[in-house]
Amino acid sequence: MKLLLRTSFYYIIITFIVFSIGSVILYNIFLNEITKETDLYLVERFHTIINTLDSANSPSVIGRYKLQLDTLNYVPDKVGRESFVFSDTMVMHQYLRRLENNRKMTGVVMVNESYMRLTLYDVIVEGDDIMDGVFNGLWRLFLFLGSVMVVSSFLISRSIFKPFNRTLQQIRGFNIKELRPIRLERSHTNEFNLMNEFIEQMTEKINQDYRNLKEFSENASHEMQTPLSIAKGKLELLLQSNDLDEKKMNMIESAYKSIDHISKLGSSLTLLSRIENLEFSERQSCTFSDMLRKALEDFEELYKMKKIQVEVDLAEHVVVQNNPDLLKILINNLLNNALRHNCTGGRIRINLDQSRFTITNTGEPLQIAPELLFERFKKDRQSGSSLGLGLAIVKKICDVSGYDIGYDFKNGWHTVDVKFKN
Amino acid sequence: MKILVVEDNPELANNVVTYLKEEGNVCEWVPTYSEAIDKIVGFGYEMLILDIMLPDGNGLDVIRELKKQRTDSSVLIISAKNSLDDKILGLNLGADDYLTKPFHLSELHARIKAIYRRKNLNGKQELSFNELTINIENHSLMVHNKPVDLTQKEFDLLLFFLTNKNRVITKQSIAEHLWGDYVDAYDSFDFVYQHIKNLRKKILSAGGADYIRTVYGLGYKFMVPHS
Repeated sequence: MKLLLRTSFYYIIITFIVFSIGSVILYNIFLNEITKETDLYLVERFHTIINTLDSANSPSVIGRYKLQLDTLNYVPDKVGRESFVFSDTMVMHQYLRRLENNRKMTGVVMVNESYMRLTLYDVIVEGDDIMDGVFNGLWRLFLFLGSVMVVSSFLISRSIFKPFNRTLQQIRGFNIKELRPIRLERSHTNEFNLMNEFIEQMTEKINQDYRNLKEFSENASHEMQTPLSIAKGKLELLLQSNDLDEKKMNMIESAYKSIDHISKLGSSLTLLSRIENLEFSERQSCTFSDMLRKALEDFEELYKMKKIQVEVDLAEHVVVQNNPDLLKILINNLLNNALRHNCTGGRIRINLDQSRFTITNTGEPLQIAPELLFERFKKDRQSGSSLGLGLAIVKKICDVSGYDIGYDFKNGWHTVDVKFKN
Repeated sequence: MKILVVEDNPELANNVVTYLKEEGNVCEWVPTYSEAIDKIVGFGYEMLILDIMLPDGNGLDVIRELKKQRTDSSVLIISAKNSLDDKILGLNLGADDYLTKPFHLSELHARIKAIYRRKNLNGKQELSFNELTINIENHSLMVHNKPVDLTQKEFDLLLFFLTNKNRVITKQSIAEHLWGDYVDAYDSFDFVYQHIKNLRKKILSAGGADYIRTVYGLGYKFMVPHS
């Protein structure tokens, strides 16, 4: 639910409660006011009647409409204004033929030396009617107010939340790898400005940290190569000396292997970050089918040595727009992967058409979760020889090229599927 | 061969110089751009092993200077930066080959020899060792003047051994020499073994001697018999 719609929803509930309480208050005020007015009117009539009686000296002149005149045969305590008593009563209505609420006023007057009690009635507006009126008025008002609130919240939100929505859009478009901090427009709302300022600072910090981290890992893996090169060279020279026995040789070999591993790791990580940095962004038309065929020729003898049967189904002239180096790495890593994780005497199926490249190979089921397969250092078997970066590099290449990559395992077949987007 | 190593890291240079000297080369080392310029102006070298990133200049400028001198020295670039631009630029300037750090010394030596052969054995692309004669141009091997059929990889392997005779060559360096970076070296040890086995068999069955020795599972050595 939209923020303003939500607030207006709550406002409507509050308004409803206020209106309910208000209706009771309104009812009472109306009732009081009407009673007061009726009483005043009755008093006025009373005086008119007395005046008439005084001048006419005969009670017969005043008629009998809504009044009653009784002669008192005792001396009352109070006469005139002090003797007024107001009360509510029911009187049979002349035309409607039903009892109606009436206001009654009695007072004692002295007419022609005798005391008389004068009782006056008048129809008073009933509580029900007032209630109806108040209710009818208020619910219309309530409906009107409610709809105005909803409509205006839509209209207001469109203008007030414009800067907010712009900010949202910018945040959505923020990519840490683009190293471009978010720049937001000023708005007329302080809160939004505060938020924007905060977001700008935050993204700038994020970018800076990311850049530092990236530069660090890049430099680290790069700076590593020279000392590793030296160590490797020393061991290679040491190998040439004639006084080595098998034990020493094995120690040298193990050191040599480890150094080799680190240096490969370093260059693979450098490659990953170079791909990430879009250093291979120069694109050209590459004939993927030819590149694949060429790579398969290179791999042919390796497959043969592992007695792997390869079925190839390649479409001709599959042309993609990409960097040839990236494609070469992609193809090689996938072919290599299908070789490494295959069993001796296994099979590989390779399919290529205009929109996708699929490579399927036999092999042991994965021991890691398939969704981790493309993560760095997620090796299926924690053997020392594999770097665990091959598929991470493939994934990265697909990411920067806008390709979809998927993995599936079914009936002993591993399938890696690369979908080119046109 | 007279070789100048231009490399700012003394230890790395020392490795290269030691290995190349053992192979019977005359080898000198300078750590800076300016010293390199002094040396190439003053003395003639057949081969320059050149690091691109030098403390006081760019190694590529050394190539430019070299070309100005109109010497026919060969240049092998070694760089820690695996940058394609540098590689292309270097080769365009007239460098003969490009090797990325870290490298195997045996690989460096093989590259130097290959450059040397390209330059100096014009017309006569043949290399002989005892009963073995290999033709680099058409990738063929003769044992006792009888042709032996070798695959491309077996030929590369034999040439690699011949340029690094009497040296322990690790399986890693062989794998990388044969398949480059693309195939993971550790995966290809079995393949290295098979190739070596086949090569040995072919030479033996053609009446050649068994030159290739296994060195404790670590690598191989092309033994030159002491006669």
